[in-house]
Amino acid sequence: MNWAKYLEKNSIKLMLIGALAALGGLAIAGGGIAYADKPSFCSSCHSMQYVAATWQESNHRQFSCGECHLPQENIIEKLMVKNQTGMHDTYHELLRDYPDTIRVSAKGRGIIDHNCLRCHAYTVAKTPMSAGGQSCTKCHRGMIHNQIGIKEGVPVE
Amino acid sequence: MNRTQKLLIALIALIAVFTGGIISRVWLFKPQSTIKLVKLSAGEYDTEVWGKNYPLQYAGYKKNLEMASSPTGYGGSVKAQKAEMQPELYTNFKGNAFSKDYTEDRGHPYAMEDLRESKRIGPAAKGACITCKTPYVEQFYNETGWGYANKPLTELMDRAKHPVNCANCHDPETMGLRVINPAFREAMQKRGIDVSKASREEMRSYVCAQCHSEYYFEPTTYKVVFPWDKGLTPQQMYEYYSGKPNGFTQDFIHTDSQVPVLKAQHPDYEEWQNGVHGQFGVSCADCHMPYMRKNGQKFTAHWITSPLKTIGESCSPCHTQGKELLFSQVKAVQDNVWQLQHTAGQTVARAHTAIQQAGAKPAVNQVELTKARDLLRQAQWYWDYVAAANSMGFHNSVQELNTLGQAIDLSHQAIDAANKAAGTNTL
Repeated sequence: MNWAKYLEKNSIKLMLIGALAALGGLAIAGGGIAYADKPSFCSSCHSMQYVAATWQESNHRQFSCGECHLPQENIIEKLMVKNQTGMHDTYHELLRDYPDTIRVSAKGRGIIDHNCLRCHAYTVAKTPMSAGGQSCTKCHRGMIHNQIGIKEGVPVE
Repeated sequence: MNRTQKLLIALIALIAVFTGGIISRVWLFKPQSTIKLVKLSAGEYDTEVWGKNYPLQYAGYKKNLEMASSPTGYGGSVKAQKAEMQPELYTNFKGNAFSKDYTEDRGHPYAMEDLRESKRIGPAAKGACITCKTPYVEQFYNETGWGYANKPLTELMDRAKHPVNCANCHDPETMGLRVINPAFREAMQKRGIDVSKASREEMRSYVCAQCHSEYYFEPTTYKVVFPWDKGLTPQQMYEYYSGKPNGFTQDFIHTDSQVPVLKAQHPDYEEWQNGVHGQFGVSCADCHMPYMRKNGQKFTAHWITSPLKTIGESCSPCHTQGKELLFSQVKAVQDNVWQLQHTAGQTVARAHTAIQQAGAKPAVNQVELTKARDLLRQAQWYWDYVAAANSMGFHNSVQELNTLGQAIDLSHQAIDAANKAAGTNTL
């Protein structure tokens, strides 16, 4: 087969196919990102069911998990963190070695605290809190994932 | 097929297996979120039968066989004489079998064995003693009501084949929580609480409270009674005992001082319900039987021991300060309580001696001597309320430190009164 001749003859067709493939790829990737952004996806992991249930009872249930748990400044950083934490979570979901009470990592806490200020910056603007380096959730803990709000236990069926 | 094609197919197959594996393990075949009910028949008391059907819980229950000292050094499940650490016990329980044999308690599976081995139990021992040692108490009570309490203990021991186990707290047909100690049900009823209507969260403490509480045997019938009519604090229970309930006056008369002594028995529930955890709705099981996971499956730990062995599961769901800080806080509380408990016990012992010596004087003032004995009776009750309980005061440190402070003060008052009775008081 003469590749040069083949390309020359089918250049328009190939370009169209390439463009369609790219569009298709983008659609799948975009759809995947949108799908994986939903709380229903996060809570499809067994280890996340409890935190999803507590969030459902909170006054922040109109926000999705990622709005607090992922960096929101730029999409590249967001996707990088999402992939990193997603792989971490999937790994432990596979091993089934997660504890009953899941704690946020120091890095994760930093992301959350930063995201609090996306909405609540004005509240702390004139206080020493605005200087940064403070953790909102150190005091305002249990606000979203308050264990008291929901029924605990292991049902017997 | 050429080599490239083969490699390509192999690669695709590998990816398919990898993704398929993840999808099936993470999404299709999740770990169990519920426990499958296996109905057992009413009156099933065999631990093995329960264990076969509930292996995760059974594995935890078997861990109760472990004998180890507690992480802080107070209590634990090693069978050793408590008097090794507190020699004052020999003095304070003179005239009672507790001065001969008073060991640290081991886990639930040893309940019957330890009852048999106890030197406090003689041929005259009554069936009442078996109330909290075995699930068979349900059967005994169903057969004869409180009549079992007055039967010879040996007769009932032969029939009770299993120690405290699943059936003490679980309904065999529904696996729901239940209490089978009639004394607890009666005591709660007197407080206006119908245990059969309790919520699951309340039951997570009641199942423990049915035995980890203070009690006495009603004279002549040997019925087990909880002294809760006036309340659950040491003061309120002392007031209750002062009224000679059902003709009950004392557990024993002290050999040296002739004080009619009340022996406290592990008022763990009473301490806790008035303490910070009890008041804020944290149940016994929340700390002593935390939720755990094995292969992703959530279950309640049935290894009932010091929560300091499971800080991550027991404490960390609420307290995020880290294991070391939490441990040191508990240790500090217990060190403080132990210091005062030891002092209180020793002062009580000194008061017994002071009263004995005063009583030996021919010209002793009987009015003052009686006063001294009354004061010491109360002092010893306060000291023993803390000393007999588990947790070295942690269940309610504020109340227990206060109780011990009162025990020390009352003992000194008793010593003063004894000296006055003997005519040697210089004050």
